[in-house]
Amino acid sequence: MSADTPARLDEPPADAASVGQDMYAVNKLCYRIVQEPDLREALRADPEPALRDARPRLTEAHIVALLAGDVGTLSRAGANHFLLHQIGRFMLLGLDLPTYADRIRAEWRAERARAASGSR
Amino acid sequence: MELVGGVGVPHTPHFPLLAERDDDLGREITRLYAGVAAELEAMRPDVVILLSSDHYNTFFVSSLPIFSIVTASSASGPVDYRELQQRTVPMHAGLARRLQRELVNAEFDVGQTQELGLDHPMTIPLHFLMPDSKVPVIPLFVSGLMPPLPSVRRCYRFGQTLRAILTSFDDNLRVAVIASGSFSLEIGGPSISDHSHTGVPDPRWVERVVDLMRNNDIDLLLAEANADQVTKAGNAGGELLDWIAMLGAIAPSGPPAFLEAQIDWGHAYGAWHVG
Repeated sequence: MSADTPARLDEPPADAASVGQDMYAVNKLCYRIVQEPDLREALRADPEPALRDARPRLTEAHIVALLAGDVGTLSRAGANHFLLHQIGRFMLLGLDLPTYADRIRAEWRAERARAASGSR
Repeated sequence: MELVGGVGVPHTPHFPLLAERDDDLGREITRLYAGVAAELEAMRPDVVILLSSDHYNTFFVSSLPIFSIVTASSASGPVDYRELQQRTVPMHAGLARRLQRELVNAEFDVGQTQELGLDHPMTIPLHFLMPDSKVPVIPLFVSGLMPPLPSVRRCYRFGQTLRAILTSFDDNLRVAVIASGSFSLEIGGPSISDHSHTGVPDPRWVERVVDLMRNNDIDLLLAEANADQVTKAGNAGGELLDWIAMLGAIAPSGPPAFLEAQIDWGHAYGAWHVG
């Protein structure tokens, strides 16, 4: 690899089945959602190809979660919330901010319940 | 060069719109910012240093400095809220470069940002405090959101060093400092409230910080604002560091000229004159 080629841009994560792999790709997508009106438009028009075109590459698990608006799973997997909530703010992938917030609350309520039952 | 005072305010992006409403919240927002703006105006600054934490708009994809000073001659924004009124802010690139050099000489490894779009943590304070001002601004980033954060004592010493450098310069300029940020705030994460995508995870901390500032008990504030407490205050709780750096620069010798909390929002509004 040449010195000026970023390693992350075209290399899919080794474990493409795990949603927790390489959250940078999800965070970068959300960063671009804020910065790039064209990307927002592409995600509104036809989300799946827009997600598959994203660089660095999203894993299949990322794409499944994003297409389902499953921000709870992405949140628990370590996505950055300053960036993740932008999907709701810009009303993409079936979300708006109230729906985004409902899903985050539900995910972490369930997580706390799991933790509580595990600690008994 | 004279450091004439410092102020601190929040930067909720929708406050400019909410402030225009003829309701209790609109009037409250207007009154609180106006109280601080009056003190800032009385300071008659020739230059303003604006302490702010990047909200993943400038540094997320490049590199992440703990401190970085803006050496551009101007910048525009808010780039993260294009629907809000856009403005171009004049800056003082020459003074910013001198400050960077002296801060590095004083062993604060401050980066340099020559190109940026202003994000809402910078433009919202300016909207309310300096709406039509031509006074040049020097934005200075403190990494308050992306862990690992600098310690509260490091940020206070940073402010102290900033003041020592500024007052050593011979220029006949009056300098004021604006800190942008909240004391307890969660954006989009596990600690949001039941009715919003944001939340105030630790309202008692907001009250505590304001009490300590009102009593000018800075030593206790630095002791209590440890990493655990800042984390408990929410994923934007580190914005307190911008205020701490401002207080380091001001070295308050008495109570603030203005200080009020807005507990339900995790915010405070404050102003301190030097001398």
